[in-house]
Amino acid sequence: MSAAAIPVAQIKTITMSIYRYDPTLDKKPYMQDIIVEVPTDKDIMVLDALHLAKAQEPSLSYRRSCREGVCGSDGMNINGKNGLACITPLSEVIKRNKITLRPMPGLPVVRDLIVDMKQFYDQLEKVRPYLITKSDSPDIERTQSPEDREQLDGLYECILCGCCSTSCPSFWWNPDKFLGPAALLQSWRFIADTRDEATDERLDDLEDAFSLYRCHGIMNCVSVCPKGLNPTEAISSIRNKLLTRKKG
Amino acid sequence: MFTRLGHGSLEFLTVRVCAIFLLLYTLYLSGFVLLTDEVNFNQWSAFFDNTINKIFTSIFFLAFAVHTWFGTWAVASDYLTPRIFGSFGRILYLIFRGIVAAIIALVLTWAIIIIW
Repeated sequence: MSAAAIPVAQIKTITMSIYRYDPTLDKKPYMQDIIVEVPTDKDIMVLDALHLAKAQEPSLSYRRSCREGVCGSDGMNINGKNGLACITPLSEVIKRNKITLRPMPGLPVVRDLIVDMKQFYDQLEKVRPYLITKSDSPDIERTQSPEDREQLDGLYECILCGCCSTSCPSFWWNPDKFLGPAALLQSWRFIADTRDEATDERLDDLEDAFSLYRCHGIMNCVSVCPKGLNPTEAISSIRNKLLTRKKG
Repeated sequence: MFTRLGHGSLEFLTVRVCAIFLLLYTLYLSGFVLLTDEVNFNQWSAFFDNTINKIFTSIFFLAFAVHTWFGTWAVASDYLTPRIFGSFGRILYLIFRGIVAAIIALVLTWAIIIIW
């Protein structure tokens, strides 16, 4: 192949404005602009751009693992909207050659783009996100009809990235009382599961004024969910169940 | 149907039932104003002399009171908290609730006196 036939890499310069905070060094957080050269002949993801930024600033910290939207590690606030950096194309979010990255709001910052997810997991634990059975175990397994199994579609796919709960104002203001959209989606996932035998107990746990009822239907959770799930609909389903269940 | 409602469900239903009544009464009163050729003092006075209208209007103000009480509680318990205002949060919350209670009591008492 002649030299003239070799495609010249198309490169453009972008500015990544990134939230920086190292509690061992910094008195307060600050935004750092990092100039990065990104290819224009292919669309890279925000996470790829972050790797390029980290090559310049090795102290830059963020979580990542699978880099394909499965593990849910790299949830962050991208230009004001939560999302997964690994499956968010840079071209979709960049504005005037600039992108702003902050940690997910509402949770304590451990360092840079890394937040402490403890509150999020504490709330998840409250809904007991596992099958509870009381009847004797069948010889082989607890089966479901295809129709019953379909009820779990749109629920089981949650990867617990935290994008929804940390974009929810009700969770910001009462993260210890309001369970948040992610935990409530999981709650409905098990209430809707025909194999689960603790529906009444699960509903009893949600009867107070905060755990579920603090949802005001803002729907930020639906807007940001990287998996396209609908926590608001799940919350609404639980509410309908609460309001219509018969006396036992 | 027998249902067992916890206080979260009861509050949720109460606020919405009150909201529906507020809407219905507003439509009812708007209907009176729109369908009357000329609303003057005599017609206005006659409208509120009707016992059924007196009862509806009283229920309207009661629904307003309940709706406002729960609604402002939701706002206050979101924003006026120790999480946001530190140790002053609880005091702010109580002051706000006190002011809301006073306004509701004033409006309700005044309305009942005027209506009846």
